[in-house]
Amino acid sequence: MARQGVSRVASASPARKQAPPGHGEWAEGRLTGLLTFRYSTPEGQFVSPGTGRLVLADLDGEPIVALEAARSMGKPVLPGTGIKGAVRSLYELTSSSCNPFHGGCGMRQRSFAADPLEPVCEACSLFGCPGWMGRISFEDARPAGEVTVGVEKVIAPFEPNPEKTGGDFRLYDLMPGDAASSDRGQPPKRVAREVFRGEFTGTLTFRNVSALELGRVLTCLGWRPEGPPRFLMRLGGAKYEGRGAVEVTPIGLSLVDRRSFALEPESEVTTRCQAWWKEAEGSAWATEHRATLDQLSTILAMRRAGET
Amino acid sequence: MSVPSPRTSQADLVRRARALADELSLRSEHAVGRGIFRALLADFEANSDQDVLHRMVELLLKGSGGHLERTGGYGEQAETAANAILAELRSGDLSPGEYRTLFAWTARLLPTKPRKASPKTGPRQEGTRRPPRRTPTPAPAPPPKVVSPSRLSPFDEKSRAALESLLPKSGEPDGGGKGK
Repeated sequence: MARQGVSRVASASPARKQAPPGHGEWAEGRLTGLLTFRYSTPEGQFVSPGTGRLVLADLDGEPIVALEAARSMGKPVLPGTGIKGAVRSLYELTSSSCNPFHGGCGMRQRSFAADPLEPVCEACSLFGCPGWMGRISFEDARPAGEVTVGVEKVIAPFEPNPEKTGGDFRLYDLMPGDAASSDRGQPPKRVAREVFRGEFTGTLTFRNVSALELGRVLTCLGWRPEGPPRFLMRLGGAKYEGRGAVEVTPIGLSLVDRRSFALEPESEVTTRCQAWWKEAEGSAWATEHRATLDQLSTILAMRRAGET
Repeated sequence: MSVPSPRTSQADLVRRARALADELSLRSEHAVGRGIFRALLADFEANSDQDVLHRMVELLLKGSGGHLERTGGYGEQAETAANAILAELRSGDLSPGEYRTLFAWTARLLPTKPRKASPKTGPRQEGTRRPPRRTPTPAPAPPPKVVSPSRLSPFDEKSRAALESLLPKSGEPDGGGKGK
């Protein structure tokens, strides 16, 4: 079992709420466009976005029943919903946001452009909530080049126990599963699941977002403009066994030109992302959540077993 | 293996699916929910390859992949569902398309949240494997009660008393007494 990470820290203050910019027009001073990312599994890692289904697979030339990993048109994918959920988790952890599972935001009135929208918290404003579509969405990430499909035996998932966690969610480091960690000294039970190794590309669509919001999203993806990633994002199953780590890199950008209504490709994608990232790093948001950001760096960063 | 019947009516397939769903959700020791049942059939729904499904459930029941060891009722439900699917496939009386229809309807008729197992069920012992579960035969319906007809039984007590007062009493000229 990988060491348990940090649970969500209950915010001392209630979620700060504000009416989001509507979907009816491209707002002045805000950004709309497409940002393409590369998601790659580092050496020794794999990602396994499960579907809950069982399939007949192959392990070392022998048939084995395995938990299926996500496919689209028969090809491996990293579902956009999973990517969005992983990013949202960290965004909520580093923001003043509601608990969507307990008394979260919701818009009761329809969001017509002319009507003032109901205030929602900053996470729901960006990612959406009941009655509000949200301003970013991630499409499925598809293979870029060769993606190998294998079968691994990972520690069987535990039954969720919300009473022990108080409804908080946990983050896991990259330490592999500990064979002696199960109850009664028995080796933990293992299940077979399909896993992917390789590179994928996928697009983030954003509408009427601020540079600060984009910078925070880039931070939650673990990216930074110089040096190794701040941390590796976790996707799919087996996170509790130190798996599911992917390195995320922006590789393409197109922005809407409000005057021509055209989507213009940007050649300087890294320069633009760097500017957004720096705006976020230098903001009051980073000051307020510096401790949590440092914890994320400590827990989720690429580190070999035995390193501190 | 018997030759599949040329055509089984949709109504028969739905009835058979109803019976299978009732067996899995009402009469099994570990009630099976829709999710786990469909989890075993996802590939079959896509390609109708009966042989692959057959091999998969057989391997699953032998412990392949470790899925029957999962906690929270998953292992027990998967085992029950796999046994039921295997029993249907072994009957061999349907075409692949008809099996797909049967299992699709069965899944639809299963509850999304199955009832919890009976509390007397103990934890699975490490290193042991239960034999494939026999599908329990439902108890026969009791014979209908034979009720002796009574002329006055349809009436309530008050009405009965009023009618009885009109009947000739024994010793009177009309004789006969009650119950004539």
